[in-house]
Amino acid sequence: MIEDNARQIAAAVLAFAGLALTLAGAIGALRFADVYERAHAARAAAYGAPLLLAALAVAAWDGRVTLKLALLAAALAFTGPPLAHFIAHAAHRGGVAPAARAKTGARR
Amino acid sequence: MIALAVALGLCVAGGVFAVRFARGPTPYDRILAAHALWSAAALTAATLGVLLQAPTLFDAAIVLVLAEAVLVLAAIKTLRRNSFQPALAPPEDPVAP
Repeated sequence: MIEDNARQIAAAVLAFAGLALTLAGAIGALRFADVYERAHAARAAAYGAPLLLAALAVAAWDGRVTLKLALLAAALAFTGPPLAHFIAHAAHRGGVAPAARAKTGARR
Repeated sequence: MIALAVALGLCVAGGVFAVRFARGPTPYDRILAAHALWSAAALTAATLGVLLQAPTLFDAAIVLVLAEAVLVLAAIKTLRRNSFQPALAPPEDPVAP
């Protein structure tokens, strides 16, 4: 029983951290100024994914489910960063200029 | 319970990415938003697999992630074929070639 409670608490902490990263990245992707900053924010959202998958694995506590979730995390880890790089590279090659800023770094 | 909370949070994040997809000024913004939205959808599928105890959804999530990679690369390839302007040159810049 105590182990069950500890498991639930660990899963809740992992899920909270993952959701915080995901939602922060989503808000950043909505609010940032140009496509490069938005790619940066979307990667922050993607870093929440392994935490969420770990939370699900801890909550489910089953070997087969954990294996599938680990495979999914590996697929995300292998495809996500190259795709973000390719999108930003294509935007750069496509002539998208970074958003102009004032000299203090404040957003115009 | 935790899976339900994760599913709801992922749906909220997906909604925010959908707003960016609808707004995105450049096509690259839309590709980026679609990429993030699709990843959130794959994660939601895995979460629903835990929530509903349906193991098929895990495989569906993995297939979604792998198909997404191909689709994003195809969209980028299409855009790169269609654009030849010099990099980092805004159209109102008189100095740029």
